[in-house]
Amino acid sequence: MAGYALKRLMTEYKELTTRPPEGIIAAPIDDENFFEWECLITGPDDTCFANGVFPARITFPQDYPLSPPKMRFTCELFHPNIYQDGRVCISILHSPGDDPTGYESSSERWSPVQSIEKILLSVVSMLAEPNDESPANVNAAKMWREDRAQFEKIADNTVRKSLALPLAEN
Amino acid sequence: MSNFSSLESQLFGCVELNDTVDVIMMSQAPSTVEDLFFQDRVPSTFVRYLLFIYFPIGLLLFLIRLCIGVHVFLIACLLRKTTALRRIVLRIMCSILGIVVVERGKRDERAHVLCANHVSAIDHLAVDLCNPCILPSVWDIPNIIRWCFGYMDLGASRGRQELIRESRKHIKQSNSLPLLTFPEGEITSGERALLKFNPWPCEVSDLIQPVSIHIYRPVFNVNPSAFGSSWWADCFWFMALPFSIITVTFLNVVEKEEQEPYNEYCDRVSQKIAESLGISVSNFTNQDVTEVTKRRDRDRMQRQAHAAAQSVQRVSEKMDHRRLDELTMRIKQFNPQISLFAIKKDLQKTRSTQATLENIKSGKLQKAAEAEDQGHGKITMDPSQWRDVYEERKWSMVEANRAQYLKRLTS
Repeated sequence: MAGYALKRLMTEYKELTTRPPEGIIAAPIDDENFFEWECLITGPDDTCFANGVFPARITFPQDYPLSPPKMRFTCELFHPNIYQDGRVCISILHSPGDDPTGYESSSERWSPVQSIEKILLSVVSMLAEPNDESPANVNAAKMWREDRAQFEKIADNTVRKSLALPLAEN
Repeated sequence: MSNFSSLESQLFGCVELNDTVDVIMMSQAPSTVEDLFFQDRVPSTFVRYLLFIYFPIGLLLFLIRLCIGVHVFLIACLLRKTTALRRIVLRIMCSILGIVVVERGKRDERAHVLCANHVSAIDHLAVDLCNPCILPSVWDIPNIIRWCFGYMDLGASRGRQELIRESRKHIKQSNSLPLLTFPEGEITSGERALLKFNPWPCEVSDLIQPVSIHIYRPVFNVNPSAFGSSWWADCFWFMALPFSIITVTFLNVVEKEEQEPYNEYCDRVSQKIAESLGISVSNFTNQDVTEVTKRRDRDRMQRQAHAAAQSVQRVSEKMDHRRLDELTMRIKQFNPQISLFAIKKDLQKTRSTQATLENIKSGKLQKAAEAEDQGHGKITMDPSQWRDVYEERKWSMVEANRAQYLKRLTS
């Protein structure tokens, strides 16, 4: 089982290294454990997250790709679909069986034909278009809906932080 | 004492066996210094298992014998060296300690110098039990033990010439004890070949009686010495194992011919001992052995240090990875002109923010602008390189977005 997972991860690693999608890179944290990856996602252009480079961890189960991996941002990210501890709540990371929110359709769920690249691209589009119907962070969802300016300000500071720039004054 | 004869006959059988084995081995001369030594103390897996079972008994035996050993020391110190009583008492007590000495050949009273091969830390004790003798303390042995065994300081520490002069003076004294020497200078296995003798005993006297020493251990044939082992470890094994039989063979006296150089005379003596043991004399000297020992110790230390460093590095790499990234970002915040990749690399080396900041101050780190044409290096097919590719891409990605963001801000 783990042997197949390893093989699959290796293939994806090669694909991501030789042909990295725009604004996304990913690699195992160390050569001895292929089930723990680090990745960087660039905030999509023309959004409040533009040019931000956000690091995240992806943890793969031993029966990958049958079960989906887990993803967690290691930087602070104030976003309706990201829990406060950084976990990403997105339909592609959920198996068809479990549905914590009840808002997702089966077609968007995890299946073995998905890949790390697809997950990361989904996360990029999630950053661009938050789904406030099934919020993981209620405060963020509320602010996104009601006080967009404040939300963008927080987002801008997150971007600055991710680029080692001093924070903007309030 | 009566059981000696039976032991002896048992032993003779074994010696004969050894002889045949050694004759076969003689045909292939030892190619390295290491061949002259036992590399491992325990010769086979079978004996290892046997020892495992025997261990509790052995330890108990060792402790009991240690107590008896103290008494042996006391007796050895109290009784005069020349008395027959001392010899008999010590011989019996040594048998209790597991050291059975079997004497063969005849001691020739004309020779005042004995030359023996060196197979264990207690060779001199074995010879001493057969024939009282004096051992010039050539080696670094604790003073207390030297005193207990009645060693004599013949000025070996003050150089070779002094040693020879003092030794000559000693043997000229009437009714002095003969001088026992181990011209090999190192403990060897006595099974492959002898080390080349140091000719100093030959310069002391023109009459030398060669002595061959062989150790045999029934059942638990644990080697009496191992390459680089310490004397106290050798002694422990002597006392923990049921018993060891040391055969001391006095060979015919070798007389120096007139005009014969010391070297050749010495070679004849060593040849005689080698013949008796059924082995050959090698061309290696004890300096070669010292070299090998040094090299071995150095290698071992390097290997250990390397392994330790590697494991520490691996652990800290895993643990520090994120921390280092954080620090990199923080340093970048105050030193925007330096490339992130350079900061991270330097941090990995220094493992200290302070040191990296110092390096930045002294201009050792690459500027961000200079780093730009890098970071899009070739991608090899070797997966072990991909991690580095990722690391480079990561920082150039941050760098590029940072520049874009700042550009957006000013426009």
